[in-house]
Amino acid sequence: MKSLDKIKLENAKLKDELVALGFISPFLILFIVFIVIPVLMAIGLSFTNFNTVEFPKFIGFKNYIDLLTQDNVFMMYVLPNTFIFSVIVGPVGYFLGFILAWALAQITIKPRTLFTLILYSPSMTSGVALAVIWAVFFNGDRAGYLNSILISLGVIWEPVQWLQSTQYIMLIMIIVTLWNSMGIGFLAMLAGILNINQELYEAAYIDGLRNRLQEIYYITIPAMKPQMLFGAVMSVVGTFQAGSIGVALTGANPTPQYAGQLIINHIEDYGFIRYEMGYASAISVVLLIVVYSVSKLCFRLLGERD
Amino acid sequence: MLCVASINLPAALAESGTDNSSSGSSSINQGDDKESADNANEGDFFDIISGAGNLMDNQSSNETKNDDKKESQDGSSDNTPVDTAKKNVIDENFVDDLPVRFENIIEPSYKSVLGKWNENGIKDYEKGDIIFSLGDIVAQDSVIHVLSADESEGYRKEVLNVTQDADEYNVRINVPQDALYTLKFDYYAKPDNPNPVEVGIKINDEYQYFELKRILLEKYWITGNYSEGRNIISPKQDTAWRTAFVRDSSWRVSGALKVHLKAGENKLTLIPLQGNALIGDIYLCKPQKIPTYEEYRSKRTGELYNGEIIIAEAEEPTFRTATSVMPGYDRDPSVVPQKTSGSVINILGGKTWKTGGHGAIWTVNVPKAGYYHLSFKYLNNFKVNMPVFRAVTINGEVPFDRLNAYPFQYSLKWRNETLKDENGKPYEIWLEQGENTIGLTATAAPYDDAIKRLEKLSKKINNLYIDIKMATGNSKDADRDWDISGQVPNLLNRLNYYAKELSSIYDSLAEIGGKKPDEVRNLLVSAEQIKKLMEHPEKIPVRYEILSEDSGSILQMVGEIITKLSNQEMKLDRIYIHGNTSLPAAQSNFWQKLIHSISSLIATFLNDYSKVTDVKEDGKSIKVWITRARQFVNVSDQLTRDDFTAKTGINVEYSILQDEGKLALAIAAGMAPDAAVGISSHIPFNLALRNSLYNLKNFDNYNEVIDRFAPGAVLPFIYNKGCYALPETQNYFVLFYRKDILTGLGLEVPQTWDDVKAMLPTLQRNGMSFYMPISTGSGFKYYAITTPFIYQHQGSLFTPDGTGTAFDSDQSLEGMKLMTKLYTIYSIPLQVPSFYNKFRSGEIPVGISDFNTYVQLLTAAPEIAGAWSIALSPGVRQKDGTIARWQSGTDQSMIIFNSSDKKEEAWKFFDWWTSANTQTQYGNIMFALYGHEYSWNTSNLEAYSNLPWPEEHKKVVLEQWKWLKDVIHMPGDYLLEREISNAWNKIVFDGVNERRAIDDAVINSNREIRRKLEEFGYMVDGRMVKSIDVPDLDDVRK
Repeated sequence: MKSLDKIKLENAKLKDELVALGFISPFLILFIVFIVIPVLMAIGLSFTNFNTVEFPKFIGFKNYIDLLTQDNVFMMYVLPNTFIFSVIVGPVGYFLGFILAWALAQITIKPRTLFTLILYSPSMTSGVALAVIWAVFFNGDRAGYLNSILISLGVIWEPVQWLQSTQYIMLIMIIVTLWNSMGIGFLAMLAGILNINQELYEAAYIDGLRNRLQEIYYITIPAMKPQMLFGAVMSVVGTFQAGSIGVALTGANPTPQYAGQLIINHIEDYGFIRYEMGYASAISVVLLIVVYSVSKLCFRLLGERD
Repeated sequence: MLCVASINLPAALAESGTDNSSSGSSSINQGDDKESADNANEGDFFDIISGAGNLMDNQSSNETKNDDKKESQDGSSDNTPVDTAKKNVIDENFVDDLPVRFENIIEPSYKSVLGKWNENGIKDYEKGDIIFSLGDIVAQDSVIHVLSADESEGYRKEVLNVTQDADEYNVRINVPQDALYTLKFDYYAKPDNPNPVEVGIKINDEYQYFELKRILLEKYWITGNYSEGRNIISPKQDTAWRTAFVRDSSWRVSGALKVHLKAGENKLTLIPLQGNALIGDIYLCKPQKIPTYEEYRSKRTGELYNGEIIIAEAEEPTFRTATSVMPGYDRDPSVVPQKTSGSVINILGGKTWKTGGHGAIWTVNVPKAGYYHLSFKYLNNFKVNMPVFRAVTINGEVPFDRLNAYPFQYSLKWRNETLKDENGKPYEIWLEQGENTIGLTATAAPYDDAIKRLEKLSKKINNLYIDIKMATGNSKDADRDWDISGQVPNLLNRLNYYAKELSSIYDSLAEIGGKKPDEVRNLLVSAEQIKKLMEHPEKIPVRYEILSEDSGSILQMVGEIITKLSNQEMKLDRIYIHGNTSLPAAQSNFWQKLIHSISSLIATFLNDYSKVTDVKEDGKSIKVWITRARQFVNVSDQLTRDDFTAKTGINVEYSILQDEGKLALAIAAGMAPDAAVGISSHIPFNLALRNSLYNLKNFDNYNEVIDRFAPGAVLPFIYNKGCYALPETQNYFVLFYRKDILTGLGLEVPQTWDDVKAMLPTLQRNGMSFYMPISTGSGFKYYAITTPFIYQHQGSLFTPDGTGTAFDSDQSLEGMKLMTKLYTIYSIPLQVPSFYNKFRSGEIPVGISDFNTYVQLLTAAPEIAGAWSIALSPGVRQKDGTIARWQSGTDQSMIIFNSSDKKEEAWKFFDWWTSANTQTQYGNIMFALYGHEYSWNTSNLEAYSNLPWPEEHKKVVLEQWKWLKDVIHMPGDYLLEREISNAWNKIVFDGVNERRAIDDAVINSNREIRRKLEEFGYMVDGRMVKSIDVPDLDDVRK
């Protein structure tokens, strides 16, 4: 009898499991088909020489060795560019998002909604629309907005080729990406701040809190850690994946003298221009590892440990 | 700011260069400097040019002059503001009739000539028709063109054979009295191409007025039934003999044109412009006056029809007078017939039924003679709050005056329009028992006045724009004070006149349509902008660009409105002939719409819309992927079925390929079709390198096929002596120039780059410049725009053994120097977002550009029509004196896949498709259906010379194609392309020495080329193990 009960219990448990599985299966199937399998395939392909057309040939770690020892462009331009780009855009964008979210949380609902919309909307415009707006702004003839303004102010006399001249491309990419970075992470942080129980602040002030800065440090940030983490991860992933902006602004891959070449552009360059899918896969695996480790770091800093 | 300095430096160099090179010309001008500057706005163009030319030198003196003025104004402003006030007083009655610069001399219009004839008391001829048989009147020099009665295509009399081979055909006609006649021809339009026959008519060796320069002999097109939606594309011409009055080809003048003949013998000359025809009898008739409705109605007595409604479906006309009046499909559920999945031919017209003179004729059967109401179910959602006009003919004649141009009002939904008078009373129209024809022809006659006024106005505005530009010397310094009203006399009066004229034209259009014509609101916007400009006259030198530059300028808005007014688009679903019965509702109700939408939605899941043709699988059908717009593919499909499949029994199944990047993936997945067409020229090499394409040299008649193209166009498809694709369409880079401006500036069309350098100072002094494709917006400079400089200097891209690049040769270095010095020393603009716009505004009146610019200028630049032309690309003079003008130009290509098991069939298809005959036919059909916008730029040289492009341009392009040498491809060459672009960037922006930039480029390119050679097994450990051939022009043929 006891065993029967046990079986029943196990059946019930199994049923529960199956029901749960049933509920997550739509996501699970899509996740496996569109994320897990491609990632595994990319890892597999990264050990081959695959020219996109003919059947891949296994070559072991050669792609990785080449990447580290042969690929000048990767070492001279892509890696430094990506490093500068992500170090500036990632943290700056993240803290900008936090500060703006915090500032917005201080004002009344109507202007808040309006400003949130204004800040959020750039991140909804995607590649092409973005490039059209900014390409006009940074246009290299006298009619380009920036040139026109600077010429009329007398700062410059001749139009500057913002998008062709290598010294400006990276700067412009960073500015545009920052403008564009108040995305989903920013919304999450705003929601997080708004959700903090106001009584906490009152209690803290009774306990001796003296200013706003302390308020942020002792109450706001600890109370919204999950949202901070979410925002951080989104920011990391977003930064490393933002490759299209340089290409969209300058009009072609590669960017002039590789000045705005990021790792994503490098992958596209090898995959679609040079028809070397195996090598491109190897670079994307490296990218995956980098993104994963930085995300892990974020978890370390912000994750709940229990 | 560092960059600013580096750009300024070359600019300064350029100025000093300018002084040296143009010292000769400026010394000539020195003498009349002062005079010309003073007369700047009254003297003729040359004075102004020289005045402006010296503005740079004069600037200092000008400034002091201005300062003086300013001071005096400042000094006097408190006490006597008369000086300024006088200048700024606006004379409301001022009319700008100043002579316009660059005006083309054209014949006066019919209306003005007719007015003069009436003034001089020349009367209409009033007796019966005079008929001349052709055999009797042909002049001596044209006798050889007369065909005998046997050859007359059924006319049974002698006829005149009008072809493009002779320049003119003369006949002599004797008339009894000095009077105005209308002219009628019997004609037979030969069905050898789909374009109408056009002739010019001279009387006594002169065009009496502008309209006679182009007279149409219409062709009548039969539409068959629409099973499978066919017969639209390759319509059949009805080849009966027809009689037609000479009338204005665009129907801007109602009725037949009158000509003036003196008593006695007159010489009548026909000038063939397009197409071939036979001309039979010529009639001289008395000009008819079209009656008013009251006169018409009182002529006959009869009763209004009271039977059932008689319906004619618009999509089934008996004849169409132009192939562009196309049957089509409209999704609206109220349109009959309607289908939920796919499409069905159910309407006539649409966007393409817009040109004046294009029409259709329906035949209807009515039970008895009598009066009928006539209604049309139409849609005019093309012109917001403006009507479109149609001339209505009954049995070939316009019955009464209002039907000369009957308005069909704007409506967002389908509407029934019963022909009625202004008060809403339906017209009663007489129809005979049995068959009657009803014709509907697009006409812009009511807008004619407005169009003419706008055309005149746009010339005047441009004139003022140049006046200001000349006076200010193109300075954009906002801090400088100008006494512009003093320098350009009547400035404010002129502006005021333009603003008034614009709003008055708007009012006249409102009167014609009866509503506020929102479609042309920009007229008011323009007037408003001019008024704003006038508010601060002193700011005009900074703001006047609104007149003519950029995309929102007044001149462009006016230009667009001119086109809008001339276009008379309309869709037609049905024609009703009825009595006092009510018509079926023109719109469907809510439930009908709902059901229609739902069933269409369901149908989208059941059909594959990317497939153009559904061919039954059998052994003889080939799959072809095509990367073109549906309009192109539909016509290809029709033509293939009607011609190729009919002849060979091979079916061709077309599918539209959206993204050609998918080709590689399809090959990898083993799903490649048999062939693909419309493929970009860089793709075949990459696929061939990876063994996915079939070598076309394996086919027997390869040489015969390849000789159809310019050899240089095939170069990108050659890999190791094999040829892996055929060129299908072809681009060209030629020199575009504004005749008016170059003549005005006294400049010649440049032949070499030295000529270009020599003309730049003159251009730049006038605020103008030169354009090269390198100045397009993109930071990446493609092969197509960089290699010509290398080829023109006899440089080559690769070493003869193919193991590296020869980019570091002295010749290539020279090319690179030219490519960069034009920017660093000669300061041509580094970025030009739209050459087309700058060319229109005259800011860049000369430059090298391609086919796209050509089509844009031909179709969408009405204000400079005839004022520009093309010439061979400038080149580099060689030691033997010839000029090397190499340019690239391969566009799209066609490939056969290795995996295909029907290669022979695919090749037969290629052979047929690239033949001159097919390409001519296809190009003609596309042109006839859609006009120049969809023109087909075939790479078949013979077919190109057959297509309806302007002859003078065709000659230039064919000559340029002799200098066509497109890039060759080698493994890893994309890196060379990139390095050339980077080297250019380094030299121009970072000021790096040319030699060093090139050396860097060579090292990088060579490394990549060797890496790729190893990948493809040509090289092992740095030593060649297999030879690879570097393609050149000799490898094109087998």
